[in-house]
Amino acid sequence: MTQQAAPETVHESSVAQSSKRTTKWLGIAVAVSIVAFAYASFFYAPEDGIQGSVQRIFYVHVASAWIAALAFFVVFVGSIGFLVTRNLRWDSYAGASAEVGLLFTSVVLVTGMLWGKAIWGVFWTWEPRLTSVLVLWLLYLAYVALRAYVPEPSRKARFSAVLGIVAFLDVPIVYLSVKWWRTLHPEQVIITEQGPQLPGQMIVALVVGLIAMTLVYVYFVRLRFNVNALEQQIKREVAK
Amino acid sequence: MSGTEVNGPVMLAVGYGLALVLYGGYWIYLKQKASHLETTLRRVKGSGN
Repeated sequence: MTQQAAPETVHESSVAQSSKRTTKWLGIAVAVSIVAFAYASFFYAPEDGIQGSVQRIFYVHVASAWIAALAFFVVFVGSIGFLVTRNLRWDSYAGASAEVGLLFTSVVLVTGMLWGKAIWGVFWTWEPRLTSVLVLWLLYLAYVALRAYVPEPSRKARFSAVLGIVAFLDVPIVYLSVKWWRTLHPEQVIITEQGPQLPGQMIVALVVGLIAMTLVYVYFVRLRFNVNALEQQIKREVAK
Repeated sequence: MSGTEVNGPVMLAVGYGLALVLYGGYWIYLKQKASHLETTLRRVKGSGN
């Protein structure tokens, strides 16, 4: 006699298949957008007359910085969502977004340091923008470490949610640091009262970069969320 | 030749290279972890646990 799967198992399986298909297509979109981004930043955008070729690091640096801020905003919303509803799904999205945001911030720091070495002659200087970004990176490193070392899910979610809300306070400080203090870091050139202060082709390259990095972010959060779900499923199966 | 002319292209290449390593490395890490967990889940389900 053949055994028939329970209806809910069949439903879960078809949802998982559909989710896998979506992730696969998202992966293809990420690959295409990265190729377009590489073309736009290396060939389409004109060379900067003052900084030369190293200015092209701006596209990956700024796009990664904006997406890092988006990632930490998602952590902030997910943290509030968890504290209000006590639903662990909010916590899982916040945790996935924090880890991906930390990755994007790492890219921001590395590319910024390399640009600084070429233009300022030093990799690092303790000026407000750089320091506030380093603090941001350390805050979310602490968030990820906290999640790794607190085993009990509801305690982990509660502690993480508080840190996720507090850490987000540094995001507007990073953004406004170039306005509030005298900094070495270049001032904002996109969002200004006079409109974008860049040639049209450079703006196009940046927009392509933003689209590519947004897709990378969504793709990574999906993959991370899937890993979290698999871990939870294994725990449930073992506990049966 | 100024320092910018010497360092610029090198720093640009290193910057994009490291960004690729960080993003690519994280992608590989997630793929490997998901694959490992899927295998573990199949084994746990198979063992009738």
